Amino acid sequence: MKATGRAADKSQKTGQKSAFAAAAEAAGLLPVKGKSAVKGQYQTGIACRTGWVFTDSVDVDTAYLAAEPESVRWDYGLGLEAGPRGEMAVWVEPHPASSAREVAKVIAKLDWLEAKLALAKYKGLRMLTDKAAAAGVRRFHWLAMTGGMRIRPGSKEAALLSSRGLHLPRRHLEL
Amino acid sequence: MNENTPLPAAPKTRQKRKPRPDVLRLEHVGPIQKAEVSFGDLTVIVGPQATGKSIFLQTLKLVLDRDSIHDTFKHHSVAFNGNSDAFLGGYYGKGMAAAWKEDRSKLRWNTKAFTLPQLAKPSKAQHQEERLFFVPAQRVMSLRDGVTQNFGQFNYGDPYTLRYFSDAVHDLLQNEFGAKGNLFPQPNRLNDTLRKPITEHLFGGSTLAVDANDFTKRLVLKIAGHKEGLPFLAWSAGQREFTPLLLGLYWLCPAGKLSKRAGIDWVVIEEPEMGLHPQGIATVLLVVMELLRRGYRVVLSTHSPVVLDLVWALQEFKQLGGTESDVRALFDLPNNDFAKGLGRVILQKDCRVYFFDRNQTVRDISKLDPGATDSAESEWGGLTGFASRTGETIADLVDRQATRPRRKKSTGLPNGVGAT
Repeated sequence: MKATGRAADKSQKTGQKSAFAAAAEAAGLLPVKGKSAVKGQYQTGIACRTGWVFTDSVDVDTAYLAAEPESVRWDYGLGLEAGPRGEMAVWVEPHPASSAREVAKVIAKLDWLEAKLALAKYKGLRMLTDKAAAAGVRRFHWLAMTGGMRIRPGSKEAALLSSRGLHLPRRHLEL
Repeated sequence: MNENTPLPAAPKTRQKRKPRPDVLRLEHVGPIQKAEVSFGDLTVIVGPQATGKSIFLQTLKLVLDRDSIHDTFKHHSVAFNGNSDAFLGGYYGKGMAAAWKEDRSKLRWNTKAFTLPQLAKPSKAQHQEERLFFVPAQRVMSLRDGVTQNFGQFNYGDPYTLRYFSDAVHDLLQNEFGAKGNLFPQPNRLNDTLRKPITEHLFGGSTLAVDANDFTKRLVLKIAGHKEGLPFLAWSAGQREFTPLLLGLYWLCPAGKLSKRAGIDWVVIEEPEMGLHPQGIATVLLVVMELLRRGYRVVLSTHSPVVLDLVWALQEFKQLGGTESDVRALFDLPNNDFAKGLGRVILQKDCRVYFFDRNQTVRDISKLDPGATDSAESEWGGLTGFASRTGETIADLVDRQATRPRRKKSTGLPNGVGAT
């Protein structure tokens, strides 16, 4: 798969894995270059700021489909090379925001993801995720590119999201 | 009126081509740079202080009721002798003539251009019938110490809209309700479905009454165990603000089979939320819906997100195929004919929202989409802006605390619910 951006180019030339790819493999996940793990329909909704690049990404949802078919699973993790701040991990959940009830579902997914990040084999991904937080980069993101947007700022559901470090769903993410 | 008492019916409307909406355009008038507002059945305007909302609404009244206004001043022996600056100061408030700049200001009502100095004189048509009833933000001034004030008790420079509203309320109390002791609840005014939430959320079970002791008709709240009645200044701020609004609503909703006050098509209510808890605001909105049901076109200015919650809900109900039962659920209304009818009618109404921003063109934010790219729309003209910023700041803080031991929180959802 074609690499995107400077860090990906560098890793291709040197044959070195990105820190995200190495951490993902340690967790038993299958990293792919850039944001390719994200379904095509959502890729246009996820961008990073100028000078930053996506190194690798993982489809966590599919990875656990067979093992945990009944679980409320989070969708994607992305490695983000943030210039001098180094590489970090962020997590994106494309999910409809068509009613305030979706908030509880997304938080249930976050619960699931945080439980995974607490596992020993996820230590690398956890550290990269914490690095994002330390650098002031939001770790968890809700993407709702299409459909109704019915979660009102100021509502108890919006407050619930904030308390878990999630912002209101966005039509487009710029990480 | 109980559940079985026949109600004034909502006017029947024939299915015909939708008329073109009325449009008021103002440019460079006071703080307004450019405003073009196309009115719906319910139009809500929002915006920070001193962005021209009140000037805009007062101008709407002046355009619609020009001759009636001139006639009222004349009737009360206020003569401007052709001095348009004096008239504009008397109408908008002292010094407001400066809001109109001869070289820059523009005013257009539908296809017709006017100037404020033009409107400061009666028209040749002498059309004196009043079309718009204005409930001003300063309405509490109409009940000094619980006593209504007539037009002449105000001074030159006090806004006309306050003087005229006060006079209407004064007339209502002195004449229509003259001999009655109780003003609220009134068995022949407003349906029981509306009276119940007013009693519960606004008067807390007390009764609004007229005390005619000391040869003055004074409003008091009668509460159990208080023999003389609670005087005006002992009421809650919300009760003091709501009572003149209630009297204005009584004026607009006559007793008997009449559904509307003759000639009046428009109602402007400035800041209906004043002094009220959100439950009280929701109750006032219920009465606004009753005005819409009766066929009035209502224009509100507001600083309350609760008002926009209603508009947002109605827009979404219409888009999602909601029914009258959704409207009843929103307001916790009983399953009776009145509430069902109210819900049905309100879903047919055209609602619009405009944002008056400082030093900017007024924007149509009617969709109120929380996901809109324009923050004016997603944050409802700034009304949810602080709530959004609060959420973002807390989320940032949660992120900064991420390296500390994680808090374990549960949603209570069973595993497997809502999988992608």
